[in-house]
Amino acid sequence: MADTKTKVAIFIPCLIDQVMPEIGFAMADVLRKLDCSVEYNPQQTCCGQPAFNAGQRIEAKRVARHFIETFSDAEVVVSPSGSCTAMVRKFFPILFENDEVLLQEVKSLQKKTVEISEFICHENRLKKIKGQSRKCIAIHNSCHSMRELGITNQIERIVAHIDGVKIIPPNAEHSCCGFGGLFSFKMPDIAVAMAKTRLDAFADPDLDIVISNDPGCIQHLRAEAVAIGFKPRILHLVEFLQAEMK
Amino acid sequence: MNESRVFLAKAQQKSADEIHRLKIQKAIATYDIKVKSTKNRQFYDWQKARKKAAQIKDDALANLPDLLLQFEENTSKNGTHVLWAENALQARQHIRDIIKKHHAEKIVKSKSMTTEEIELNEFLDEMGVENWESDLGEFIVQLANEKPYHIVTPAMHKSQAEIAELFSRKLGIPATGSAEELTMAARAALRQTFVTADIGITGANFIIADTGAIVMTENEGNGRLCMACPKVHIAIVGIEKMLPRLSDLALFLPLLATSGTGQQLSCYNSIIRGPKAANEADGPEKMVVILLDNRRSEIYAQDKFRHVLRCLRCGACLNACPVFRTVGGHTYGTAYQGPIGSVLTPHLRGMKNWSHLAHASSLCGACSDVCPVDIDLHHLLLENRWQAEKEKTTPFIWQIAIKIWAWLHTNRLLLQFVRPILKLGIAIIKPVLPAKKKRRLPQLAKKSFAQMWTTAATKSPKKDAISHG
Amino acid sequence: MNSKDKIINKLRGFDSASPELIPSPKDNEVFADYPETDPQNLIAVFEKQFASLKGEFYQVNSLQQAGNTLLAILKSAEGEKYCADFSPIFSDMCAAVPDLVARFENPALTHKKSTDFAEYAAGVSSADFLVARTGSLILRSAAAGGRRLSVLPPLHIVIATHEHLVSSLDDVFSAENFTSGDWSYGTIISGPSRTSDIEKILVLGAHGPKRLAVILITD
Repeated sequence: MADTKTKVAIFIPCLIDQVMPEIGFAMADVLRKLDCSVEYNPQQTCCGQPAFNAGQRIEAKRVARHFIETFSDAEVVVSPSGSCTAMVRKFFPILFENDEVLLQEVKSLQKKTVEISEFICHENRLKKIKGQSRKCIAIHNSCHSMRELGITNQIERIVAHIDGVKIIPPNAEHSCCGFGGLFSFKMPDIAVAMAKTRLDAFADPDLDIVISNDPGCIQHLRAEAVAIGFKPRILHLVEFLQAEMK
Repeated sequence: MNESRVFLAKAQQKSADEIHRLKIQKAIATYDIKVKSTKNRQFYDWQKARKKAAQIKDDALANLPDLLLQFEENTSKNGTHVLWAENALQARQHIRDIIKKHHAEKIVKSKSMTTEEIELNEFLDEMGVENWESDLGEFIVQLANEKPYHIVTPAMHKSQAEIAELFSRKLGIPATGSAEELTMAARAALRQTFVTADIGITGANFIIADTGAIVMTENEGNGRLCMACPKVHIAIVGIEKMLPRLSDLALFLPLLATSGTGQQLSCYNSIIRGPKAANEADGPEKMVVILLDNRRSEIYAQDKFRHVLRCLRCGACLNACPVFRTVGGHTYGTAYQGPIGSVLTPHLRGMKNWSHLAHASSLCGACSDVCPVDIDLHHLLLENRWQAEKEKTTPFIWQIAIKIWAWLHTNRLLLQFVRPILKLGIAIIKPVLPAKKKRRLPQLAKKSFAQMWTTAATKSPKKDAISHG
Repeated sequence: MNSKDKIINKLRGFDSASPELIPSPKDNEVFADYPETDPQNLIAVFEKQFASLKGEFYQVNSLQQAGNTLLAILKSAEGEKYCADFSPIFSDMCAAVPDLVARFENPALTHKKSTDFAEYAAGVSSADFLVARTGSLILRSAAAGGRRLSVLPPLHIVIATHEHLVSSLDDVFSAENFTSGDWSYGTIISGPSRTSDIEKILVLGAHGPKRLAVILITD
């Protein structure tokens, strides 16, 4: 029945490629459980966001062009990062605003590139999310997925399909974890203080896991969690699903 | 020390200051609750309201030269004198000339960020003119010899106890005052100033073209007193504060009050068309409006940035910004703090010394979310970064680092090849980095995802076809 | 070239197009709680909003009652000397309650100095509009005894009739006569003077009146 499967080209952000490859494999696993066939083009590297955010758009363009070439034949591109998806959908058009030819390619890429929680929330796939768990979880939506892509309750809807999970709302309104790409390297003091403020919102003693959908947030929050002895695990949505859908 | 280093040093200190953070969090939490409830109560469609406001402001900006002339013509009919200032220097000179002409010795001011922008207080001090800030928050920071901390709440960083101590030192009242007692002490202290000052200096929140009026929003009444008692009233206003019609206020006043303080309307919204009219009981004999450009026309020239001139200076983006909440207003070292300050300042004061502010953001977008005139603040920060790069003001080390990074990320083989060297590099550099930077430097995985995937695929070429059930 | 020309020319240089101005939005397009135009309802809405702003509201149904209410309010004032704008409505009220007039000065007639305003414990003025939805009063300097009378004394009392009552700010600005007449200064007052500059704690009477009262005369 392989021909009825959705062919998914996975887009592995640089941070997952180099630092947290297990999240990439978890996503591939979850996608297969949702009856997708998973393709990975190892030529891919990064969407170019680090250079774009640094203001170095010439370099960003070079990397983005490489990205566009890598995914030109894909039917659907799925990424485990709201931020990288936002780069493709929201910022590629800005990057190539004066390049008629590439702008056309960007437009087709825009239409077919989705973030993993958006992808799963399609009704045919959402009903395939099944599992049992007694975990108490909290959700940290990434700012980029919320504000650039309009992803609001997707993680919650997905997790609700795992029976027995208890979702604990944070005790403060959403605030940025402080990653911000190069921001956390350029201004580490601010970034670390912001991570602490964010983790303070997850103070419930029953909490087992904080789930997010962006490797940047996850890496940044994990580092702070170790530093301040924050107990709950910080997982990517796909890591959680991989573990709970067994 | 350059501005960027000053910023980083202050940011480091404030980020570690828990007491500061608690004070700010508490103040902003109070603000958040009020804003949320007022938004819901007052607007049935906040999004539509802000889009509409943005449209009106864009419209006003597109017609700005005509509207400015229309304003001048209309307000002149009422006896207002309009002066134009291309930059801060000219604005200060205008004010100096008025002071000299009227032999003024005492000035009372209401809160105006435009006067902060042109550093008027320093100028008046140098002139040796007695000059009092009359907004309570401004009065507090003036007594403390500080700059305003926040464009709407200048003394947000001071606790009641700190203000009580300050007032006790400066005004000779007992150091145990409650908020009410302290407010009454300021009222008593400034009362005589209002009624004896020669000149009142104010800002304005709006310029109204069709009515030839300026509009000023406040809660305390100090602005009204600045325009009621002294015989000269000077208003200094940025040219972008334009609204075409008086009727636009029906939307803009509630919008500003809601975003600024969570009020339905601010306590006093004054519409000033000119000096005392012949048939009136009182009012200043002379009114001067100084229209300030000070590089606004250069922002205006750039399509990408023009819409930042919609800004109402409500302060909502400061309150929403997690960076502002962490480092506080003084760290910025600018008249306008927070996201709007980081967008504006590099244009007002030069990219060369101020582009670091564009980088003082995680680009989370909370600012753009709350802006009552829908300014795309966080995307404009990105534009500022790009502009800094074009103007070659990006630090050299970052330019090189990103160039190398881009080179590696356009070629997988190269990346693969360099990876072990990078790993080694990180292992060497990590122990010598300061703790917080160390934490930010990621631990590279044993193998990259690409390597692991390729290995797995060679071992089990049919893996994808095998269903996991 | 002078500064004005330089600025205007700079702006014109970049001015892409000057489209027709879009009209101001109508109030009911964006605001909730748009009150009805039924006068009784407007009074109720005004009273509620005004009270929530810590204003003191009195509804009376004759000039005489209004005068007596004013006398009663003045009993709680901080002093014995008061000023008024001597507007037609105030004069009518004085005619109905003769006790009143002797207690008031008209600072416009006496050319009162600002420094001497301190002797007034209260200022009484008329208003041009009362806005129900926001609980606001609208004063214009030509009619309301000038600029100082309503802001310097610690107590400000406004006399109005139900004819002054409108539903929203929109009604005020679209009123035909709003900008006509020789007034240099108008103010929209929403409650007594206030500040939250110290730890966001609300304190009334920062620099303007500590108390604000409205006496509304209805038939």
